[in-house]
Amino acid sequence: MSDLAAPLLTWLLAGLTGHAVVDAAFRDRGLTRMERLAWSLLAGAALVPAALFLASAAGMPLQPRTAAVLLGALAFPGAFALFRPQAARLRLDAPGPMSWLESGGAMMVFLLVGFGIWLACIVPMNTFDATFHWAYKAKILFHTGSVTDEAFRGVTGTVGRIQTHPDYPLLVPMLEAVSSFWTGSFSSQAAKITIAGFFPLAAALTWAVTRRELGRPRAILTTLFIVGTPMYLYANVFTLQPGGEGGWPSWQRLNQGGIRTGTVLDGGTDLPVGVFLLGAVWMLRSGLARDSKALLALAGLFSAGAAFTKNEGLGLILPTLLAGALACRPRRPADLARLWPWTASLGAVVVPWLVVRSGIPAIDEGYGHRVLEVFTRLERLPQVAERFITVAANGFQWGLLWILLMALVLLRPGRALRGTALIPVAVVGFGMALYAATILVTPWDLQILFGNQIPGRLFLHLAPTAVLALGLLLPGTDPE
Amino acid sequence: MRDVFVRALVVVHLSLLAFPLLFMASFAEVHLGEQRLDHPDPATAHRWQRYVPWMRGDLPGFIERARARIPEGDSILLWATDIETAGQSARWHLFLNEALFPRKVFIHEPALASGTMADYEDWVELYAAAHVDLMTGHRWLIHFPVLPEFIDDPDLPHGRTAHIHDREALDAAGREQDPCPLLR
Repeated sequence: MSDLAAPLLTWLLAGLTGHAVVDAAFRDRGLTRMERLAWSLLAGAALVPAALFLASAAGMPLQPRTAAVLLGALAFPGAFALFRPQAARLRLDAPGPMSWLESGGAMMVFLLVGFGIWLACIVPMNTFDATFHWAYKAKILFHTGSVTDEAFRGVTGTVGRIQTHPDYPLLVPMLEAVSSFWTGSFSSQAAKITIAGFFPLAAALTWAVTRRELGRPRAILTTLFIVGTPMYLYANVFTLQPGGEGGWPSWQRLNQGGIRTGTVLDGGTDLPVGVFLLGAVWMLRSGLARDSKALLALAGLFSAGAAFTKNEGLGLILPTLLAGALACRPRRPADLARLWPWTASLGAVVVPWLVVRSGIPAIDEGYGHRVLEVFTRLERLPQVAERFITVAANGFQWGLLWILLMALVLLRPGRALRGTALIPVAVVGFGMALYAATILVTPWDLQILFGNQIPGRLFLHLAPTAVLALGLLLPGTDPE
Repeated sequence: MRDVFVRALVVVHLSLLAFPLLFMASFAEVHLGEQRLDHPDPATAHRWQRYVPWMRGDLPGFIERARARIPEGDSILLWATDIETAGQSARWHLFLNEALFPRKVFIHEPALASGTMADYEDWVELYAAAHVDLMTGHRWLIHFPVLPEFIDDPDLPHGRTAHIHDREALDAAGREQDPCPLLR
């Protein structure tokens, strides 16, 4: 199977797997086609790796045939549900034909998404993290079929195996390995294209969640904000730094296509974390608003997806929990019990991973035990704050995304801090605080860290949720 | 008034879409119609190869030779010498390990060798001072010098580039058969 067909098959199986869960969770509420598609793909992107991980941890070797049988079995209920008479299929009222502005916006969305996919398809995997942190793990899973192989555990002793960050989570490597099962040999290109699938999914999800609540024009605008965020397509093509190649902006790099600087669509994990967080935030918001245990459980699955994608996703559980707790408006501790379905489904995926991870040597800096050091490292705060502001204000990378969000929070505090946008705004705020605290206590030299695209890469995790908050706070976007 | 201000910001934000669109147009102009590493035109394929930053100098050719000679599943001990650079692109053991999998690649002090850039500098110091034991039971040894030119020069003489030792063959033929003086 080709490098392009294999990722499509992986996403098809993921979508069918997720569909059974989404169909059950929304059974009485109704979904539009796009909502059904986007939520199913996202749920499947979390469920498929989690199921394969559990199977492997339980001793089942992952090989093309066993993976095909297992994924086929997982996909079957979802495929069956497709043919069930769906009385609850929802059709939203179309507000007439599209204006030229809406049509232009929609065309831009398709153009940018298409370009992102093309970019991922033609450029070889060429960034360090994507190759050595993530695709190498996928290679191990593809060849050994085991999440407990010596390749993960043997990075220890006087003489041992080599692996960068052996205890990093396995959602992305698992999806990449699945695509290589279909190609027949390990393919870094198929791996890369598989993960680039999160880019159109980000667009579909943003459209799906905003269309019903904000109406068509605002949904197009919000989706355009997501796919038009420059950081998804390039990091350092343009620069204001003196002495940069070709002056200002850096045209020489532009004419090289900018790919030497790497792209987010290279098979890295920052985009998937952001998309899972967006899904978790929206579902948490919907679950609490409707008092639905099923939707809260789905929110937990998406939080688990982020946690099983990257360690930062594990850290982002805390901002999500705090935002959920705020939205519960607890008068007594028992009010927080409403969040138990979120906690339960989150734990069902994350706890087995943490158990397996405890058997893998940690060779890098950990942050869990450094929490209290925040108060002893406050002298770094001005440097960190300056860097956060500089990066957030970099129009070449973010447009005005962060400035616009900050302005809207200040101009519409009632809506941002108490109203419909509370959860996304709180997650972005607490998430930024968490990342700032992490950088305060990091053992890294800050200049080396900043040279490594930090905190820009961390902002990528929060960007889709920030765009959602932006959409909810824009003037004229009061819920229909 | 507030709404006008916000709308103005939205318009500016949207106008900054010009940057990704410029990038898109430029990228398409340069690369439209090209494939990737397996492009039928060798010159184009080579150009794409150059976009993988670590695939330079003698490494791609050496990887090809090592894959041809060492069976999958065999274990290899990497042995670094002449460490003259601690730069990021000198971490050849990471590149070799990734490229040669599913061959099992081993190295001394693996935790530091696999760590961050800061760890790598510690590994270089520790490794340079340690007595490296080559008799660890691995059939294959890959000796690689960590020299700046190893990254840049594709035509290095034998003593200045990586080479492979087959311990079983050496045991049978006598170590003096191996041109690497360090192994004798």
